[in-house]
Amino acid sequence: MIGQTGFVVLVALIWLSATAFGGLVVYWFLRQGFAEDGVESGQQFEPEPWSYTKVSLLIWVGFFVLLLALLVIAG
Amino acid sequence: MSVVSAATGYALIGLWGGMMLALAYYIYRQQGVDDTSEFVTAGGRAQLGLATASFAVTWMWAGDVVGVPEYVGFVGIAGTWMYAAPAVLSGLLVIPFALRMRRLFPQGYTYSEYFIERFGRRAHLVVVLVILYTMVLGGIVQLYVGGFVIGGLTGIDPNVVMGLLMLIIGLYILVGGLWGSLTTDFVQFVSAIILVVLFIPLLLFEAGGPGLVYEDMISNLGEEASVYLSMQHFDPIGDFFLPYALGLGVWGIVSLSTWQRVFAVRRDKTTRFLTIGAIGVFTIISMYAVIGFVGLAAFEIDFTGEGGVHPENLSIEALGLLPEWSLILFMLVLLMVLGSSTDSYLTALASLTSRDIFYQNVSRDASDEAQLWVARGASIFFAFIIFIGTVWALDNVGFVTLLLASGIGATGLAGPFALSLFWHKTSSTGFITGVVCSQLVSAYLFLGSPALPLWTEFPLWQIMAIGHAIAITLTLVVSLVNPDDFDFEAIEHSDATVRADGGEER
Repeated sequence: MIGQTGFVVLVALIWLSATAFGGLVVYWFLRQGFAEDGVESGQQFEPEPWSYTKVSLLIWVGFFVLLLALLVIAG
Repeated sequence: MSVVSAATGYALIGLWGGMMLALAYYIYRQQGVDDTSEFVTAGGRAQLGLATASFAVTWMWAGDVVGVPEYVGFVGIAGTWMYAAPAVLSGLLVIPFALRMRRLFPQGYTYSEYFIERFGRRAHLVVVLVILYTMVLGGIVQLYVGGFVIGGLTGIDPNVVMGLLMLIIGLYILVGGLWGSLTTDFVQFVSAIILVVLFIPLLLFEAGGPGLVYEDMISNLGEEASVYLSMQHFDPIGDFFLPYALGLGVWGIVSLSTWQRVFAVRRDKTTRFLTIGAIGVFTIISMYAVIGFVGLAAFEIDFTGEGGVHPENLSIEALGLLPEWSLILFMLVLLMVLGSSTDSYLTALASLTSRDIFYQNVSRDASDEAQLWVARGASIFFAFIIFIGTVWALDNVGFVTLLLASGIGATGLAGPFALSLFWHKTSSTGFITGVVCSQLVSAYLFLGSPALPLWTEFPLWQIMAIGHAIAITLTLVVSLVNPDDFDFEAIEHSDATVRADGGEER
């Protein structure tokens, strides 16, 4: 069973993560706006490079490690 | 229990509707939504922030505000991950599909048109039917929550709330198509962030702060506390986690609204927006669980409905603890979140009707202008269909049942779709057999009764597992018996834009 401190930390952690996520997306939008400049409708781009995909997969691994840790700690 | 007046409720709906329609008109003028590509996929040029926000709010359904606290009411704090993890899993699973599709079809309109090129028209028709009913069900789930929560908080008849919501959403999609959806989604995303960053903490502190909420939960739950306050409360996994994981966990793979957003961004940014969007959804859904924690602290849970609060009502009861001014703002935010998910399904249905039904099956000579008109007409038609479906569902089906049932469509399609993308021997006959048999058996088991021949009662997660198993096994076996020899490279090196349209120039 999760203890009182653990519960408070858990709520704080979730709140911080949600705030960071919201901040990142709003930051992207403020920097980039609505649409790619100078891009015509239906224009094609190169496929995603493996290095980008690898970073995304690493983020996923980190996320699932954190989730498992949470299940163990707050058991 | 109405906690604000009906007049306030009407004023809020009017304010929200005015804002959304104004936004849709603004983006219609700014981005020039005057061809099908812009209406259906935002021309494939939406920026990362806009697309991520849209993917996230499409993915975190308005139903989550009711569903997560309900899960917490039934399961305890483990309900948080049981509800949130499948939604995130879907974002991960769609990545290999998205990368493969965007290599084969860099700029498709709807992903379903891929099946024409891969298998021909019969398979395409099967896919269209499955997508059609899953998208309508998805829309019904969203509107259901609108009627339930806004109606519950204001005392306005839920049917009136739903009618007004659907009218407004139908109108702004009619004007702006996917651009309208993406833009209103961004405002709705910011609203959802405000909801979880400001209002849910406000609710927490209205209840005395996290420390006191914890103590009150211990006191209220009594002997059950050790179970309810453990993340390792695995007993209800069959009722709460597995059906969600097996159905909605693969929903992203077959959801047309997901694919519209995949096709809306540059393909070199595909995994970035899916990863950040999906993991971000986990954090926001988890914050909704705090509403459930406050509910557990403030009310005794009662499963019989004779005393205390039933978990289904935990969300409404807990939100009633907010001061009235903040509750009014909360409802405005909730309207935003509601609109974002419902408009996504409506845009998807409009695109499906225009491209997959009208263009591909009714009029191959249709001009771009004609397709655009069909898409716009379909947005109003399906707004009406979703409204009628929700009015019926509100009186006849529980929310969680409706939510989980909507995942059944995904169980039949996800496996065969994967095989079609990565295994060249997957044949049209195998694909159709797998999808159709899986859907029929799942529907029979889900909707049937002991009076029917050969009907056996299975838990919902087993019905979904059976659906996956039948779909994958039959597609594999029939394809092995009667194999195809599809040349993916031939597509990859051809003009994929043209191929995605079934061989027609746009």
